[in-house]
Amino acid sequence: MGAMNRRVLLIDDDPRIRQVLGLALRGEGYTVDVAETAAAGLATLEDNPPDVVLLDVMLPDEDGFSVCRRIRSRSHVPVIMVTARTDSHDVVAGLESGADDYVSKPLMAKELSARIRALLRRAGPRQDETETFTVGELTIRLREAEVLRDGIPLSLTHTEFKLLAELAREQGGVCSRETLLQRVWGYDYFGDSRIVDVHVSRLRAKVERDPSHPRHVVTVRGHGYRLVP
Amino acid sequence: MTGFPRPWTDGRWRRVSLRTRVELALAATAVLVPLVLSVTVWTVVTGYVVGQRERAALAQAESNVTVVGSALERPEPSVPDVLEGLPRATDTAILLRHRGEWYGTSLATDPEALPSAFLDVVTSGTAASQRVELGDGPVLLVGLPVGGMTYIQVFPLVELDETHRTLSAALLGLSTAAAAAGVLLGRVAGRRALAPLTPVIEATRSIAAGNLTTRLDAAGDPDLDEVARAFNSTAERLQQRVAEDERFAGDVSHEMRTTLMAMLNAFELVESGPALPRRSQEPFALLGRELRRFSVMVEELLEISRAGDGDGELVLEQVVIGELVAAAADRTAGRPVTHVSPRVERRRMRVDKRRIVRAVTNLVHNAEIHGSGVVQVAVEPYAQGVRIFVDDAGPGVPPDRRERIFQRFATDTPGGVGLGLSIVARHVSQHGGAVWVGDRPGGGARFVVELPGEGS
Repeated sequence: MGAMNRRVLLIDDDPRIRQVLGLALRGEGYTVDVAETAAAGLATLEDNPPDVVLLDVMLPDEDGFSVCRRIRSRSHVPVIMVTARTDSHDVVAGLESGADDYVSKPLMAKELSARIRALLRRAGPRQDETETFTVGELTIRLREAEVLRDGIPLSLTHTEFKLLAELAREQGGVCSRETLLQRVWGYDYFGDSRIVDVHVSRLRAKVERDPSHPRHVVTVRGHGYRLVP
Repeated sequence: MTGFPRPWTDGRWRRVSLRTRVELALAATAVLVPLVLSVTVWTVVTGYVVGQRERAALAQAESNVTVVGSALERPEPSVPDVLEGLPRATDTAILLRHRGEWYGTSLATDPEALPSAFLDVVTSGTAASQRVELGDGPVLLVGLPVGGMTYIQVFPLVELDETHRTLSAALLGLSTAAAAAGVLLGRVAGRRALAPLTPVIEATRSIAAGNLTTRLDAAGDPDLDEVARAFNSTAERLQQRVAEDERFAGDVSHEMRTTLMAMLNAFELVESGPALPRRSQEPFALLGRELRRFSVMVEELLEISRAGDGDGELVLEQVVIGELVAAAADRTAGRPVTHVSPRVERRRMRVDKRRIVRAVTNLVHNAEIHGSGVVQVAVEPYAQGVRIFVDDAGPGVPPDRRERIFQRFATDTPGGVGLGLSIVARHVSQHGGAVWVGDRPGGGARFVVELPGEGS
């Protein structure tokens, strides 16, 4: 999927970062909207709905985590959190507030656009692949990118859907965190598997009847996850 | 620098350890006190016993003199009979000078053997007593003038002498025993008195080894608690100072990083754009190299400052260790350099991915920059984990520098900050592992990272 006509909203208070990332992303064909405060960012989100949001943790008027929660409450748009460092608390807090991925400073435009591309990649059916999986009371429709439970559509984000689709494709087999990082987020070996864990728990909250005793998205200790009917 | 004030010590004494000095002082006290006591007891007891003996002797002599005086007033007295009739202990002897002639009891001593000074005094009419050494041992002479005669009685003091010897032996024995006990007590007390210093020594060593959070517990003793408080507040200040330094480095690096990030991104934008004029290409490439090198330095400074930034804990996750090492090493070298032993190809370990990637990256980077290029990175089985070998083609590391290079700012090489290997050492040790450098068979250096894995 090309970057043409894709809109990136960049919320960061540092003008140098806004300028240099704006230059780089525009160079790759993205339309870039910039905002230096949380309030301006949220307003832009309403006026020009983006395809992806780049959100700095440290903003002058509000911290990035709560901005992320507010974005989540009104949109499924993929959010990439920008943390100053790989501080465990920042990373986990960022993911738990609903971010799809995170990047640490220093931000290199190449890496960033790879992350954006991975997030925007759709989870449609591959060639000769079945379009629909049924897992217990869940129906996963790849082409429509939708999940039904007992026939009722569930509201999943783009990333949650991709994660569920990858687990469904294994047809009950175990999917390691590395594999999921690679297939859903486009990481090579250096991805952070906490991204997977946080998304799995978010997915469970939506697809399981009792998320604290998951029946479908099951942890296989020391290996990864599998989807069981 | 100030030392402990020790006004009681001179230079040579100072070399003796505190514990030895405490032991010696206690032992010396333990020797001196019984000695002084013994001498005092001996003096008092012997003075008393001798005095008693002299008084008894004098009393007997005086009573005898009275008897002799009245006996000799009778007509035709037989002086030897009078003397034999006197009450006396069998071992005493009596001499009597009567009308210019000496008489004596059967065991009487020859008057010639008595000291002439004593005889002169007594015969001149003055009462006298003297202790002298005669052939059979020490004796007490008591001389009394009695109506123109001279009465001398000789009391042997051998018995008294034996009492003295027994007393001396007993006191000497007791003093020796007390002194020995004192020395022993000194050793025990010295050790016990200084035992509370052991935790202080251990804590100081721990601080020196870099564990700045080490503190001393209160011992419940006012003196020792004072030491613990002083130690703890020093450690606290030291820790704060180090944390401040690290935070400062972190803040500065963070600011620099943002600037650098802008520069690097701008550089890459130009780099990926249309070709530059020929004469700009070389300086532009130089700019890029230096920017990247600078960026590595800043990253290393930030990595170091992280420890004081709440980022000290490991984020553990299961990884296929061989794949992780290969990915990190090959990416850093820019070409495939890793060989993973088939025996650990699928080995999974719980590690902090970021730290292991950083350690491998730094080692490969080090080999590329300072070791004339990495030759091979090998992953071999070790315990439940792995050993990672990073071989380079450089001149190797001289044995005397092999420990030092893992310390901060320990570089001798231009272009290096000297943080990279210290970061490796820190990350590896946080995994319970070790890192060292040796020789690569065939020349060059071989860095070895040992990750024992769980249960080791």
